[in-house]
Amino acid sequence: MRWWLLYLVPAVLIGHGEPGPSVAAYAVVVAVHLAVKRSIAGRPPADQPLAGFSARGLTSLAALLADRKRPALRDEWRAHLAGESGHDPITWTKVREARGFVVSAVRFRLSDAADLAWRPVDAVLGSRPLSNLLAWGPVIVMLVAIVRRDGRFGLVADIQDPIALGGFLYIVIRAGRRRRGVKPPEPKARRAKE
Amino acid sequence: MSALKIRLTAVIMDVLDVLTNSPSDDPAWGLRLCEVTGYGTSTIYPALDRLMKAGWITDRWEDPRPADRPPRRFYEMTSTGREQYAAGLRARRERRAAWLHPAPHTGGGA
Repeated sequence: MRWWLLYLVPAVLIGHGEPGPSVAAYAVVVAVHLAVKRSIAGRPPADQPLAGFSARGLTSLAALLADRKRPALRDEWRAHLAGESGHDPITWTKVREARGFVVSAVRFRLSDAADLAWRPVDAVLGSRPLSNLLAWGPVIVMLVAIVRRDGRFGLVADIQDPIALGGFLYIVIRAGRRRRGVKPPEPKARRAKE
Repeated sequence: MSALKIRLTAVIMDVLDVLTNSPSDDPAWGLRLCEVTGYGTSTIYPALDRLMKAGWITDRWEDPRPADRPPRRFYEMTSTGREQYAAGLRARRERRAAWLHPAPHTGGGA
């Protein structure tokens, strides 16, 4: 987190663009923040009930967000907070780690959503008939549109457009397969004539 | 369904290096990975999840379960993971070598 950004906004608001009040407000906010931070960090763990509550609460929230597909994470994260000794005191460092669990859980959900969104794309890329339909469909539509508008002569005059579209779609499909690591099944070998 | 492709980013490589060098009697777990690599929890756990999904690593719980603290979840590399990681590193090295030291032009000339 860029804390200075948080300082800067109130400083600019207070100062209304004038440098003097802005700098003064900035200095005051920084000083207050550092004082609070130092007083919290200096306290012994027993005096930090808020930290323990925050860490446990954030870990529970993260486990809830991580979905039922990952039930092991709750225990795993509890073990993480317990530390190497197994009985580490809860400090603000642990709260920061618990905040990381929440970010992890959000990233898991985003990753799941992305996987779900890619599924139809993977299905098209992994199937030769669907890939052919994706490449040839728009080309055929364009050919028909040209013929209907300009006749067969128009087709000769504008042939570069469907070729460019087909080439572009072919490249998109090949690049998509490579990027997603999808391999369509090999075409069946034609039966040799007896 | 496509196999999940793993890009060898700095985070992934650091995690895999730690897992590769962890002894089997003292395997790596989340906290240790964070401490050794220096990355935060929000970076390490998504990386582990991704590697698990790709089948590069596997997990197991601490056995026997300790009574006085939560059990730890240990991570280990699978044989597929080791092979793919080695192949990825090799390809990366070759790519780098090709960029840094391009082969001299040996085309025929007068």
